[in-house]
Amino acid sequence: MRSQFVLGAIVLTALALTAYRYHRRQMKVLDMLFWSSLWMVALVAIAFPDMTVFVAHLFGIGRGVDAAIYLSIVLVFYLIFRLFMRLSQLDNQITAIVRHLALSEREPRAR
Amino acid sequence: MPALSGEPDLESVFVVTPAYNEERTIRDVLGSFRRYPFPHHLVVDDGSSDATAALARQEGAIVVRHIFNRGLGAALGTGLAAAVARGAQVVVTVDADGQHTPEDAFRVIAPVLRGDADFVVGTRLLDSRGMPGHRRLANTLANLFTVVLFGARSTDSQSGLRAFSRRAAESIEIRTDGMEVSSEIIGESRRHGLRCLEVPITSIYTDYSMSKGQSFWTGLRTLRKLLLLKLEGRDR
Repeated sequence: MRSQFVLGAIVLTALALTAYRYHRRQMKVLDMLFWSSLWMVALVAIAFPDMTVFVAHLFGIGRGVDAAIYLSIVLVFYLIFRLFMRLSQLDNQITAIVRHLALSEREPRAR
Repeated sequence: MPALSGEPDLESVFVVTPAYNEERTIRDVLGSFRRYPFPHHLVVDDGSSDATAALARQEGAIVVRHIFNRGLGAALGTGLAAAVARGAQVVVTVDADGQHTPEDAFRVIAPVLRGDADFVVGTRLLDSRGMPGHRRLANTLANLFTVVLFGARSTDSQSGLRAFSRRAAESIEIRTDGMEVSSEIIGESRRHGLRCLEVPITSIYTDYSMSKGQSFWTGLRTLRKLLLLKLEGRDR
């Protein structure tokens, strides 16, 4: 079960990083809760693979690994979507700043 | 500045030209419009790295400068706001690559000056002579998507020559930064119930203007952004 150790180590690192970032106040409470619960669920699934089978059967999926993969894909797409929305929001905000500078004619000379 | 006899006063008209690295053509464009005579020419320098802004100032244009490049839509939005702030009653947007003539600009603002329309697009397809075949196809597709996404029919949704009444310039809200702005403006004018009109113009297609326009790939990008805009627009 070497793969369990490798995966477990990665997820534990992520968990530690989440805690560290929250501790340094670089992460909001909600984000911290979201990510740490995500990592902990992953950790449980890695430690007790049989539990994923139980969840898989609940959804009518044969194997636990399949359920984990399906779930990850959904999650990844959701996160990409959120990033996308956030980026376009940032784009709008940058344009608003650039426009404000242009209209107030205090734009710096150097680019 | 006195208007030509028998023609309406152009004192209240602002020509707005978004420009990004257009040092090769900006002087000719500004010169031809000043001689027409359009007294106010406002250039939005969209973060050019060349001499566009300096040349435009030399030619007597008002230059408003983006500190870095934000795209056509952002530049147009800034241009409209700057013209309105300077008291423009009519705004006409003209491309910096020299494909629009002052005569065509006048044709486009005429209905606004008469008070017959709030928003006028100078369309190349009502008179499609001089437009290369693949451009015509690309435009047809763009028009189709403008109808599907914004419910606004247009024979040339990507035209850069447009006239706005002050009311239109104030009410149209531009949220996109890039080339997709052309379709958005048409959608916006519909949303605000502006009186819209299309007027035929003749576009001058040079190798230069072709290289600055939308290629097939930027066309696809434009389409993708339009779809996103449509989706985002739902919750605002």
